[in-house]
Amino acid sequence: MGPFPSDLNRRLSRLFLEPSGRLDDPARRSTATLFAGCLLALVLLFGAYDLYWMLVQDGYGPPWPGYLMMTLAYALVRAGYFYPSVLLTLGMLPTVAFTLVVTGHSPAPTMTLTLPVLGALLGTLLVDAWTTAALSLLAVALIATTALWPGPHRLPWQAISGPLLVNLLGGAIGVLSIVHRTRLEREGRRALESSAAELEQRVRARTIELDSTISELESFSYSVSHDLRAPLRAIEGFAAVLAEDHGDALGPGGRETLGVIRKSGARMSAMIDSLLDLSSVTRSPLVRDSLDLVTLASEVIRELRAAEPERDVHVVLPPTLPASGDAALLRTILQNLLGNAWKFTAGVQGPSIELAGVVRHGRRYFVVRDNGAGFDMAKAEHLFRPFERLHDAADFPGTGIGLATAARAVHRHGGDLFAEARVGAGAEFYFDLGQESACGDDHSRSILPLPARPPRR
Amino acid sequence: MVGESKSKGRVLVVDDDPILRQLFKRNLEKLGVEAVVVADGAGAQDAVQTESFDLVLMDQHLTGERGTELTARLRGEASSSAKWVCISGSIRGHQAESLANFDGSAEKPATVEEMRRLLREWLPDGTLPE
Repeated sequence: MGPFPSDLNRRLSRLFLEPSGRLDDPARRSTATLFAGCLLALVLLFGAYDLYWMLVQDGYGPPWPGYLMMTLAYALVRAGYFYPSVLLTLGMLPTVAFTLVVTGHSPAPTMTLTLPVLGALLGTLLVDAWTTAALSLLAVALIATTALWPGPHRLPWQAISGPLLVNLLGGAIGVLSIVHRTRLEREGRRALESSAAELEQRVRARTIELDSTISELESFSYSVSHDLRAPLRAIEGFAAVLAEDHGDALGPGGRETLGVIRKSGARMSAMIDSLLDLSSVTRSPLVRDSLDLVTLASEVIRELRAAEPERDVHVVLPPTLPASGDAALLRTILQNLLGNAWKFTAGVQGPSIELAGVVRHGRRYFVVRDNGAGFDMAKAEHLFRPFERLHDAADFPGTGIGLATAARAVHRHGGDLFAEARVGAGAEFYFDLGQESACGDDHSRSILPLPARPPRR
Repeated sequence: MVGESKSKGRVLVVDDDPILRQLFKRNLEKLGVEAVVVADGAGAQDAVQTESFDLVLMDQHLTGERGTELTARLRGEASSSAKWVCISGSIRGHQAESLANFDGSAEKPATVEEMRRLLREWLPDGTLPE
């Protein structure tokens, strides 16, 4: 540790290092002026006392008034009264000069004793331990000079030993303060650094914890969905057995009921598949490749055409759309967005779907447009939540998980997915893949806030 | 019977769900292949040691055992021409390591049609009666 126990350290630093506050309060300022007047009077009084001893008695008075004055002035400064201390200092100089020039005597003990006050006052005023130390040492030099002053009125050593000691002490305190303050600053900086490191460590630990919770939840929902398949397979299988082996016995009503059971089973099966797709989007690792979205989109469109060959949808694709992303996830995104566009253009005249690259708000986006049913923008927030649908399942079949899956796949890339639409006027789904999407002269995104520097005192 | 059994495909199903075992056996017999259904590793071991099969349909998650490990253990004891196919509730999101040791994977076939597609893919030619 440092030169003092830590409690003493704190007290010393409060006494010598910390500024005692400015005189912003008018009430305090007027009190300060009053004190200044009193001090000036004291200075003159003590000066007269010294002069009386020197000129009339041809000797020196006892030094205690000087000690008293020093203590008083220092207490005032510590209390925040700066003006009195300045006046005291200024009042001191002509007195010393007068003594030297007019009487030819060296300054008397009271005056030499006030010199350390000068050091202490200025030191505190400037809130600078260097000044305290320097002025105290200057005072030591001055006092020593008065002792070595040639002529009959040279001060005896015993007269100056007190002031000399006080000033040496002042200088020592100044030097120790510097050492102490440097140490405090270093400790403060180190504490700041270590608390920053600790914070970072905690964030990292929390992130790991969260990640493991998320992956636990993911694997839970995965295995639940997975295990739901087995009994569902049995239901579907035995419903088929019933239709095959006992269809005749059921009669038309019974067969229709059985048809409903089988259709519901198939629908549940599709929902579980969607859930498994949704969870696999988060489970699999992300591997970025340079890809052409148009190639992927063409494959998806081919699949859509194969599934519904009777539909004639106009598809607009650019010659190429380079992107950096995970092939499987990008396929999932396009499958869902293009599949969505395909589905919701079912009822319109001249259905049309377009995939394009656009720039919006200085960012590059991919967009999937259609001229289909659209939706009410007021309900857009429900769009990307699993199982929430904006359209009746009877009009547009679906599980309500597709867009949630697409959104998750986009977010895995660090990108953003949003939609714009109007009822009956088609929809636009914009997405980016996180990296390199800022473009043009919009550099503001790359400017990070500067790290805060530790405050200097 | 002996002459017939040579041309008939022989299928072993390992699944711990009794209802699905019943369904698989019924559908396999409907398709005219010979079916042995067992519930666990011990049953599967008995079966491959005493008979030979063209196709083994192995459930991914058996009670107290993983299909991929059981397959690794039993492949050496069974006839080398047999195909081992992992069947599971869903093949979506399957990790590659859980399909190690298998020749392929499929969703559990619920209907006769689904089973027929599976057998057509995996049984040797001519062993699936029309």
